[in-house]
Formats: sequence, structure tokens, C-alpha cells
Amino acid sequence: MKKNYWSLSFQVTLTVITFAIIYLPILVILLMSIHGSQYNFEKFSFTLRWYQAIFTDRQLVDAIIVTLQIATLSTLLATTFGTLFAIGIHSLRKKGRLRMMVLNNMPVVNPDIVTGILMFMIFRFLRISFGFPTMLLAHVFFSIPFVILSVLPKLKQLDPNIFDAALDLGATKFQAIIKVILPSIKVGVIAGALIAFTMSIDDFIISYFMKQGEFHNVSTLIYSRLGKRQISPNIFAYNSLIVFLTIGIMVTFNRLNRNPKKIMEREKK
Amino acid sequence: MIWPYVIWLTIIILIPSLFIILATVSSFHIFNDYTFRFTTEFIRFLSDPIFLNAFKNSIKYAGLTTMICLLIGYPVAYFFANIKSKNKTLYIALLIVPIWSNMIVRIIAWENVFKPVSIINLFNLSFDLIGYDVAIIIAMVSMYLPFMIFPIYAVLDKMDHKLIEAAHDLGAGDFQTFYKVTFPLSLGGIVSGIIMTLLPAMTAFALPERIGGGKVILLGNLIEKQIFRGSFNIAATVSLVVMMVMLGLFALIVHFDKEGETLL
Amino acid sequence: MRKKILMTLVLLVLSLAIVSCSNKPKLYVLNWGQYMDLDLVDDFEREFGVKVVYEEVGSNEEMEIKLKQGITKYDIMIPSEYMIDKLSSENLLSPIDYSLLTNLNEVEFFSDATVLYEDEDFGDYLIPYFFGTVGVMYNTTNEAVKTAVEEQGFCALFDEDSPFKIGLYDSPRDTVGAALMCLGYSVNSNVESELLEAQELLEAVLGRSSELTRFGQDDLKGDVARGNLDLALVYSGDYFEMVFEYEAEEEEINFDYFAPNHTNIWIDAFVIPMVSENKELAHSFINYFLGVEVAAANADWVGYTPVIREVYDIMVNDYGYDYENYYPVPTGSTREVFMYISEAHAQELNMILSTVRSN
Repeated sequence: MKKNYWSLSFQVTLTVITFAIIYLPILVILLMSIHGSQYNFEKFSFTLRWYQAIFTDRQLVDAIIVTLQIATLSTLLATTFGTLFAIGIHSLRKKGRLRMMVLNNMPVVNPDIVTGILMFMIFRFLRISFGFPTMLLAHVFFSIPFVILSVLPKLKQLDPNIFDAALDLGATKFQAIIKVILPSIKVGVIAGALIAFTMSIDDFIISYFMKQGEFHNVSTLIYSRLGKRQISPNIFAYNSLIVFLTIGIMVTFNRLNRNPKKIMEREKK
Repeated sequence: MIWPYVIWLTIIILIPSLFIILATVSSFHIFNDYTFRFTTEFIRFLSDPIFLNAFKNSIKYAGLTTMICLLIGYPVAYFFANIKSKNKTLYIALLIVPIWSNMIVRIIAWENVFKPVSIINLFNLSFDLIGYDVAIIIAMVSMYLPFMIFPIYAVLDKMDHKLIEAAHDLGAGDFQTFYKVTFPLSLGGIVSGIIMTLLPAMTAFALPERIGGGKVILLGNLIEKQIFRGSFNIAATVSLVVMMVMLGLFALIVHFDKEGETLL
Repeated sequence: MRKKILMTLVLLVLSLAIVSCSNKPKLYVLNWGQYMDLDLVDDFEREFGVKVVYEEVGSNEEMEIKLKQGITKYDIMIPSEYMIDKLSSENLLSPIDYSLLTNLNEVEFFSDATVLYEDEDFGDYLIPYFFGTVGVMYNTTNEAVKTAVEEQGFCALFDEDSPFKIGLYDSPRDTVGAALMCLGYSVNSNVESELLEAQELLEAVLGRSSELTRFGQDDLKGDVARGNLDLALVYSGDYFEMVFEYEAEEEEINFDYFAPNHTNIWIDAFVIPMVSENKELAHSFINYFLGVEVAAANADWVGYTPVIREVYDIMVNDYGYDYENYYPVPTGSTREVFMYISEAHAQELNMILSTVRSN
């Protein structure tokens, strides 16, 4: 028992360290977003003016809109296609499925900078001008494998006969997928969508290769300003807002999901 | 529903990969020069101190970061996999929250922390570490630690607890059970975790540039500097090196985890 | 119900995406960061019913690559003199049609500025924008830094025994150039032994403890101002920008600028690339920024020294820009301009910086 205690306190210590090291930058950002001066750090002075300054920074507002548009659209597209592809891959025999998964997992493992260059080259080769469509395509591209990875395990848990049963009962293939398969793999699809959205919002490196001119998402905008001018704290304000929003959503979700009975009830409805 | 995906992957991965190989061994240039004069310039470049140094740096920083992430990440993943709380999902989710905060902004935050005059002066703290290895590694660990924890957590969480009970019933101690049962079963997650940390760290460019005071060059910096400000062919050569490292590591993943279930 | 919400969302996003495109004529402008008042660009857009696509870069070399990549067909670029020299010699620029620039008759350029390009081959391809010097910006909290900078000039940046925190510019031409000037050579030196000496100078200063020397771009000025660096290689205009920012924020100014007697003078200018598909509009854009009022408002926003005498007078008399060093060429100083020598020379400078960094 004593040994167990040591092992547990070791784990807890490391968990605390983990949270400290990944949340420290978040707290620093928060602090900078409410401190009155960007040059003087001797005495704290509270202000909300950086939060107001988000909206007067036209470039930043544009970039936020682009980021949200790309994230929403790429999530929708990647989730739809990813789910369909996953169903397709699932229907293959074992050997074919393994081969497809190797192909599918390559972009997941590939470093972003290489993926970025690869896509940059193909778009350049096809003389497609860079901007919203290319960035969207790129985000769809790197999200699909994750959706597939998240949907496949749920498909495996499915009763293999359920699809055939639906067909026997007179459903078309499309109906069978929508009405029978989709509801049973919902959790995987939602998780995949969430991952796709997160990846899209956080991405910098791939977007960096997909942009042109004044077209920016938030990451590329900040990076382009980094060497060239002072980073105004309104960026920190925006970032803190996003973090609060995320934590809020997650806590609410958790509240709703906490009671398994409630989930069952909601499922029934 | 398979063929569209195969074609899509071919267009975006395979064809440009050929371009990269072409640009490495010939004068091929994606911007304006579609000539194919064969050159061995890339061999000279691969032995140039500029490349060697970037490669060495990449291995050093990414290797150390991965090691630290594994040492911290494994026990943490183990802890999360074994807690019995109603809020378990929330705790896991809290590991994701920082990823929602923009990566570049987090890098700026670390850059500020490591400069002597910064926001942390408010707490009478001040570091002067820009350009130091320790600063780069702390920042990298902070960026990539969640990517080590998730895959390991995924395998540990799915692990059948009956196996552990069985080991105990057979008289194995805690340590023995961990060493003989839990650890081997989580190997797939560890491999994925290592790769998901190692590769992005090796090819990072914004982080080493900002925290390294413009003096630390990794493979990612080399690629980024060359493709937009220098020679496209050199950028292709470095990318090819990175891709080869990636393929080697990828073979390892395929060996441990054929369907990539631990990659999420 | 849920489907409806989803559909509305999709439509909303799509419509937003569509709204952001329009079919007004477009003018592609490639400029440095914080180097033009975007409100004035807005005014121009409204007045001419066009859309200006404005893009920022961090160096002349980046501009060159962007132009050569051919992804965007730029109509206006604002590079520095040596890059204009290079681009025009490669036939990438289109000559200026002075008859389209009606405002030209209303203004007079400083002869200290025109002398930099008038007799050169590339003189017909540009309309000057701002000019200034390169110098040392330093933090005044520590008296010893001031003494070192004033006594050693550029050499203060390359003193291997210096206990100060030094910022160097992440650009081969500026940093190697400063090292050459410290050694008493020409900024344009192409003598192998002189360049080697400059490289050794750089290696020596980088050989100090890790936190003491740092490379950066326009972020250096902020770090000198705050005190994260003691001194740094900085453009004169960057220093003024910092001064104005501190004045606006009512912070105490603890930094100053020193232009050594022998330093580099630069001039940035409007050029119209050959690939421009809307040269007439490009001329209108240049003409717009030659108008005295617009130019003055722009100069106030940017902080660099205008090349137009009338605008300069407005800045000094009406805007209170009577700062020391605001006029970059005081009598009796030696000002040297960068020249484009050869591709090999440019590569050599690049290699020097890459090599000293990878040690």
C-alpha cells in the first residue's frame, strides 16, 4: 500500500507539472491582455481597452472571420467526406483495409511543413491562385484522416448485419447509411468533427504556405506581424476570449453529459 | 467510396513528392523553371555545415523534448486512465484547451517570459534565457506534451483491467504487473506519442526562431528560409530528408499499430 | 430543426465568403510592414472605386522572390535603391511615365535624396518615398552604453568584450554592412579579405554568452525601448516610430538613436513591375501619395523622413517633428548608399550570415 501511495503522488505531481507548463503561456497571455501598458511592467494597471481594440483592428477582424469560416466549412466538408470514406474503408476486406489505413495515416504523421510544401507545389503547379479556396482545401485535406481515424473504431463496434438488414427491409443504400449507420456512429463523427475544428483553428504551418497577399487567417497574420511590428495586446485579448469560450463550452458539455442516465434519456428523445 | 479518396491522396501527396525528388536531383523549379538538368549539388549541400548543423540541432532539441515529454507524459496518461471520476472527460478536455489558443501566441508568451523585462516582472520574477537550450526545450515541451499524452492515454484507457487483475492473482507485484503487462501493451501508444512529438518538434520553425533569438536553426527554419527567401531546390532537398525520416518512423508505427488507432 | 440551423449556418458562412470577393479593379501593392497609413489607402480605394490588395514583407529579398514567383502580378512595390537597381537591370520594372504624375509639379524632392539615384541607370524607374539612415538605437538607463555607442559607433555592436545585450538585424546587407563600416571599409565592399574580416567580427560578438547577442527584425526597437536589449542596429525611422508610440502612450522614454558619422543611407521608392496589368492605376496610386496633404498624413503615421521638401516642412513646423536626426543627412556627414554589385556578392553576404549563425 505504501508503494502505491508513492506511485500515486508521483503521478499527481507530474500531472500538476503538466498543467502548469501547458497553462503558463495561457495565463501569461491573459495577464498581458488586461495589463494597461505594453512597455511598462513595474505596476499592474487593469484595463479592458485591448479587448475593445480587437474590433478596431480591421486586419485582425478579417483574419478572425477567415479563420472561423475556414474552420466551419472545413469541418463540415471533412466530417462528411471522412465519414463516407470511413464507411467505404470499413467495407473493405482486411488486407485492403490495412493498406488504405497506411495510406490514410501518412498525412497524419507527415510533419506540417512537408504537407504544406507538398500542397503548395501541387497548387502552384496547377496554377491555382492562393487564397480562401486553397486554404480551405488544405484544411479539409489534413482533417479527413483524423475524422476517419475517429469514425472507424465506432464502425467496428457496429453489428455487421445491421446494414444488410436495413437493405433487406427495403431501404436504399443511401437511406441505410443515413438512417441506420450514422446514428450508431454519431459519437465518432462528432469527435472527428471536434478534432477537425480544433486542428483548423490552431493550424499555422500549413496555412502559412496557402496564403497570399493580404489574405490571412489569425495565425499567419500574427506571424507576419511578428518580425515587422509590435504585437499589439489586442491579439492576446482575442486569444484569451477564445480560451474562455472553449473552457465554457467544455464545462457545459460536461455538465450535460455527466449523468449517464440523462444521456440515455436524451438519446431516447 | 474508396477511389475518390485514393485519387485525392495521390494528387496531394504522391505527385508533389515526385516534384520534391525532381527538385532535389535536378534544376527543376516549381515557380518558373521546368527544366531538368541533372545536378549533384544536393550532395554537396548535405555535407555543408549549414545543413549538418541544422540536422544536429533538430535531433538534439526534438530528441530531448520527446524524451522529457515521454517521461512526464506516461505517468500522467496512466494517472488519467486510472482515475475514477465523473469529470474524467473534462480533465482530459482541459488538456486540449491550450491547443485552441493559437500556437504562435503561445510562442510569443514564452518569448516574453524568457526576456528580462516582461509581464512577469509584476511578480518580481525575471528570466534572461532567450537563446538558451533550456528555454527552447521548455517551450517545446509545453507545445507538444499533450500530443504525447493522448495516444498513450488512448491505449491505457482501452486496456482490459482483467489482465491486470489476472497478473495480481498470479502473484505479480505492482511493479512486475506494470513491467510485464501494462507497459508492453501500451507500446503502440508510446510509439505514436513519440512520433507525434518528435516530427513536429524537428520541423518547427517559428518556435526556435523566436525563443532561440534568431540563432538556432532547425530543419524547419532551413526549409522556410530557403523556400521563400532562397533556393527552392535546397528547400526541396531538406524536405526530402525530413520525409525520409518520417517514412522510417512511419514504418515503425505501422509495425506496432497497423490501423493507426493510437494516432488520435 | 437542427438541420435548419445547420443549413442557415452554412449559408451564412458561404455568403460571407462571397461578399469578400468583388469585381472592382484590383491594385496589388507589395510593401514593408507598417510603412503606409492604411486609412489613406482606404480613401484612395473610395476615390477611385478600386480595391487595393495590400501585402507586407520584411525584406527587399522577400520582395524580389515574391515578384519572381509570379503568383501575384504586383502593380506597386516599394523596395530600396539597391533592389531597384537589381530588378531594373533584370528588366522586371517598367519605366515611370512622369506625365501621369500631375502632383509632381507641386513638389520638390530633397537633393540629398535625388542624388542617390538621379544619375544611375535605374533612375527612370522610381519615385522616391522615404529616406533615412541606419544607426544604433540604445537604452539610456545605463550611462555606460551611451558612452560606448558614442565613442565606438557601429563598433559598439561588434565588441567581443562588450558586456551589453546587442541586437543585430536579421538581414545580411545591414548587419554585414555595419560590420564593414565599423572596420572603416565601404558598405559595398566586395573585397574578399574585407568581407572575411567582417565575418570574424560577427563571429567574435556571437561568441559571447548566449543571451547577449540576438538577431531580430523590426522587433529589436521595442526590445531596446523596454530594456531587453542595450543596443541594436536599427533604421532611423524605426526609432522615431518607437518615440511616437511612447509619446502616444505617455510612457517615459529611455532610449536614443545614434547615427555614426559614416553610415549607410537608404531610399525606398515606388516602382511599377513589368508584370503590372494596371499601370495607369498604379501611376494614380503614386500620384495620390505625392499630394502634399496625403503625403504629410502618411509621413506622420509612418514616422520616417519624407523626401518631399514641402512635406518635411509641414512635419517640422505643424506636426512638431523637430527631432535630432530627423533629417538624415546633416552637413559634414558621410552617407553611403547600398549598390547592387552582383548575384555572387549577394550570395556571399547571405553565406556570411548563415555561417556565423550556424556556429
